[in-house]
Order: sequence, then structure tokens, then C-alpha cells
Amino acid sequence: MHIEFDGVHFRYGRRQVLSGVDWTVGPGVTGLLGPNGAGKTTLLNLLVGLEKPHSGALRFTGGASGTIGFVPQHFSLVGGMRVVDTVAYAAWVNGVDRRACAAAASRALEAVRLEDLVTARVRTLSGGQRQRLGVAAALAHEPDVLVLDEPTVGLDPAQRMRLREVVADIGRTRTVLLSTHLIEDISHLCHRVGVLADGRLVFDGTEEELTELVDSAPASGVLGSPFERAYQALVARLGADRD
Amino acid sequence: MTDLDTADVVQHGERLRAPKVRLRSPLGVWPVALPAAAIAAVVVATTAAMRSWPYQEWVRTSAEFHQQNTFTAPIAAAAATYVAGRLLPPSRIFALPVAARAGLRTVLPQLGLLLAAFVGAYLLGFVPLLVVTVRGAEHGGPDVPVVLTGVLGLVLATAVGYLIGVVTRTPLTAPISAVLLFGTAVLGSTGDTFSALMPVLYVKPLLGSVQSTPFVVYRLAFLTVSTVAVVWAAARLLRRHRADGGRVRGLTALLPLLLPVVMAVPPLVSKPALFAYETEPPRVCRTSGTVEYCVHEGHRSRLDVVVAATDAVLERHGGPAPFTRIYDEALRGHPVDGTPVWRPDRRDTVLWVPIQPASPTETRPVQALDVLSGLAGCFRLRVPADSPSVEIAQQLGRRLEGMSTAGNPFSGLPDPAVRDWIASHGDRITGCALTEEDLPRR
Repeated sequence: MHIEFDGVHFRYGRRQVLSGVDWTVGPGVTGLLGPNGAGKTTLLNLLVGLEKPHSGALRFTGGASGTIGFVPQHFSLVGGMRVVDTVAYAAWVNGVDRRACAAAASRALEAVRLEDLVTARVRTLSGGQRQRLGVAAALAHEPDVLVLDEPTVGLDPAQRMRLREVVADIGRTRTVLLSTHLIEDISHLCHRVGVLADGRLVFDGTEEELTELVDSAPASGVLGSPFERAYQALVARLGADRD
Repeated sequence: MTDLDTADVVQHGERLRAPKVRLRSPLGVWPVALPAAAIAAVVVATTAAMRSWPYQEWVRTSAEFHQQNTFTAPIAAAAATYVAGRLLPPSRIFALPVAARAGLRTVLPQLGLLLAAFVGAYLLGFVPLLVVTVRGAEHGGPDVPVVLTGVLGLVLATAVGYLIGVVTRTPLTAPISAVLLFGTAVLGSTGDTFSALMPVLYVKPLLGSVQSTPFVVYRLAFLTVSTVAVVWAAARLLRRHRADGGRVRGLTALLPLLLPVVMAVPPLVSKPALFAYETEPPRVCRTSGTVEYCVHEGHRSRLDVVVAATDAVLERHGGPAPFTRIYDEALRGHPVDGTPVWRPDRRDTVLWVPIQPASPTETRPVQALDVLSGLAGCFRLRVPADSPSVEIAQQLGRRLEGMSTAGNPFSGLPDPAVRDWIASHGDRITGCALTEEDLPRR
């Protein structure tokens, strides 16, 4: 499925948050980068239907079901529930027929590699397993698009690695939009990157193309991988880093 | 509550066995079963006294359906708050406002399960009382609209508790729901100001009266509209963060609650009559001597008791009965010739006797004893209670009742001697003018 943002504007009161975003996101894993306050979460909220653009349009083309799975940055689970019930219930809430929920839960748990924990209580899961459970819950109704908002925040390196593997697998068959401020998430996962700064999409391309910006705008004193330096350079050039 | 069987999943050419899942009650069995059991237990326990009555009255059994809301409604509300508070905070991964079934399509199955369990348990708790009433009631049948007010009261309590869980987004507010619902029950028991609005009434109807039709109809309408409004508000709240939720934002989601608020105004301004007498109460009558005895059909078995007890007193008294009719108070709706207040110059007095299963007094014809002993005259003349004439009247009454107590000047006196004494002191007895000089000499 393709997602098209066509001149999308959005504001909270008088504060303009998105100023004419034009962007097309295709199948595979696409990263959305940007400093805090750049409008990433607002863009995702528009995408999943929590907000409406004040002007411009959002179009979804080429999907089978036209549905979206969403894993917000902060979500909660019920510790006393079983893993399988959590996912099956999410499937039902997201429109899956009652009789198909058990099977849907099984498939989603296998996709996130939690199939051995189906009857475990949620409270017994690690942070990384909980995050993967969230992804399974968002996947259970087999959406065309999976939207992940900062999914690796707070996870230790091993858990992050595991989650990235899962997301990469999902990206082979679906459109995945991953919002993050962790450069390494992008470099390990995404075939394309969008950079949002000050409510505008300032970059849309591949990781390699972003890396090339290092040469055009070197950021002195910035350490890290070429990609990381490129991103920081881009943000510095736009003067959008408000942290 | 496992509501799905193991399903086969075909994946990568393999058939996998999908585990059983709980969709109707994802929190498990106990959050629903435990309060349901408590509701049934409360009803069974608190109707135990009624079941031990010598006979039953459908009017009381029917009313008990709403009276039992006192303790069951708080239980149901607290349980519903717990379930909603656990399942529905918008941060839950399975309760995101963008989900296809967010809103009414989530609320109805969840609330439906709670209601089925709680109402089922409630009705189950009434089974012993219903069985006893079917066996022991002598007339009539259940007042279905009145029974419905009780069931709807429990439904509304559950819905309110659920809404509280949706609003507060935490199960920790379950005790608040319980206190709130118990408070409303208490509010209804403070008088008739809130009677039309609260399922629990401060007074229970007696045989011979019915809950007035406008009152019951209003209560049914109010409870129904309130339930719909509460469910509607809960559904709106769950969708209020959606972009396609229209103008449902923040507190505007609670706008449906204005419906019951508006509906509550008329009965607060003009209090409705709670009860009405039965217009043509069915009666069973019998004449013994010069007295006609009538009881409500529902008190048929009490007629012989009343007649026997009064006849025995009249026999000891010996004189002509200063009243012509003894009527069951359950027949108040029936027009009866005669004065309802005893006067010495009238012979057409109707004595109204209360007959009720909770505290049977038919074996003690108190009204007849008061008249025959002169105590009724003392009351009429407002003679101080500590005057000798009142005490002598009470002692005579006890003797006429057949009681022999130490210090009673009439105790041990043979019946003919009592009758002679009464015959010779008739005017002083009715005029409450007896003194110690009048007492019989041994």
C-alpha cells in the first residue's frame, strides 16, 4: 500500500505544526526522523485517524483491506491477561470476526516471535517482549500499514535488536512507517527515510542519500556514523533542533 | 468464559492449533463471576426473613425486586467500574480510539456480558423467594412492571459503574462507584422526594395497595432513558479522540446525560403518588354473631384466625359487640358503610385490622380489645396514659384477651363474674371513668 500526504497542514490552536507536507510512503519500512517538536507524532496521528488535517489530503492506495495497525509510543497492557487473549482481543476490537480471532492471534504472535508465550501472563514479559506484544496486537487484524511510534525507546540493545528483526520481517510484506529519533533504528531497518523539521518534510530519500549530505554540509564536532553525522548536519543546517 | 474453541490455522502449509481465547471476558472469569455470585448471595440472604413468613403476598415479593437494589446495585456498579477501568483506558493497546470497534460496538458486548451475569444472578437469588411465594401466596401474581423497575435499577447501576470506569480510566474507582450507588439507595430511602428516580423506595407497599401506574410507568421510562444515555455517553467517550468523532470532544461526550437530568425535573417539582388502593379488592367475608368479618382474598387463611380470636374476646366480654364490622386494612380501597372511628353512640363502627405476614397480629384482636376494654374511649377523650382509668382499662383488656397476670385485679375472676362486672360498669368503661373503687371485690 502507498500512503500519500498531499500538502497536509495541521495546527493546534495558533501553533502551526505541519506546514504543507508532501510525501509518499511505499511498501517496506520507512523511517520518520525528526527532532522533538518537529511534528512526527502529529503526522502519525493524522495517519491513524486521531486527527484531521486542516488542509491538504491523505490518500491510501493499493491496499487490500485499507486498515492500519498502530503501536503508540506509550501504550499499556493488562498484567493479568494472557498474551494470547491480549492479541485476540485486539484483533476483535480492530474488526476481526469473533471466530477468526484465535487464529489471527496465533499468526500475529508467531510474526513477533512470541508463539512460545501464548498462555503466559503479560506481567511476566520483559520490556522487549511487551513491545513485541504491542506490535502483535497491532498486526492481528492484518493491516496494510503498520505505524510504530518510537518502538525501541527504553529497550536494552538486545531487545532493540530483536524488535528490529521483527519489524524488518513485517516490512517485507507490508508498509511500515516507523517514527524514531534513534538514528540506528533507521540505519538498521529502513530502506527510505523522511526527515521532518519544523513541520516540513526536509528530506525524502534513502539512507545513502542522507549520508551523502555529510559532504555537502559537514557538521564539525559531531561524532558517530556517517549517517548520524549527516542527519545532525541536516538538522543543524535547518536550525530546527529545539532540544 | 472461554468462548471460542480451538481453531485450526493453516500457515506455511502446516496446520497449527490455535489456543482457546477469551474474547467475551478477556480479564478472565472472576471479575464477572465473583460479583455475580455476591449479588445472588445478597438477595438470597436478605430475603431469608421473608421466606419464613407464614404466608406470602405478591405485592411484597414484587416490590422486593427493587428494594434489593440497596446492596446489589453497589456491587454491580463496582464490578462494572473495575472491568471498564481495566479494559478501556485509551492507552490500552486493545482499546485505542482508532480501533474499528471502538465505541458502542465494544461497549455493548462488554456491558452485555456484565448485565447478563448480574441480572441472571439477581433473578437467581430471587428463585427461593419466588418458589415460596408461588406456594404461599393466596391471591394474585407478580406485578411485572414493578419487577422490571428492580431489574432496570440493577441494569442502570451496572451501566453507571461502567461509565465511571470509562471516565476515570482506572479500576481503582470501583469503591467510589459502590459508595455512590449505595448513596443513591439511601437517598431514595429518605422520603418520597427522590422516590420516582431511585429504584429503592423508603416504604414498602402492603396488600391492598398497588404502586400507582403513573409512578411505575415514569420509573420504567426514567430508568430506561438513563441507561440508554449512560451507555451512549460511554460509547461517545471511547471515540472522542477520533478525528471522525465529529464534535465529540472532552465533556461534550457526556451530553446524553442531559436527557435523564431533564427527565428528573418533573417528579422533583411535583411528587407523584407512590401507591394507590386497589379499587375493587377481592374479599372473603364471614359473619359471626352480629359482626361481619372481611379479609382480602390474599389473607383468606387469616379469616378464621381473626374470627376465632375476636369471638373469644367477645365471649369473655359477654355484651353486645359495639361494632358491626371487622375489616382487613387491605380492603381500604373498598367502600364500606359505617364509621371508621369508634364512638360510644354508634353501633356501625368498622374496625380496620392490620394483617401482615411480617409480624402477624391477627391472633390478638387489638382493635376490638381497645373498644371493649374502654381503652379506645380513653384515647378518644385524651385521658393521660398514667391515669388509673387507663391502667384499669389495660388490665381489663388483658383479662379479655385471656391473659392472667400477677397484680391484675381481673385475673382469676371467673368469666361470668367478669361479664357481670362489665355489664354493671358499661358507661364508666366507655367513658374512661373507672377508679379503684370500681374494681371487683374478691
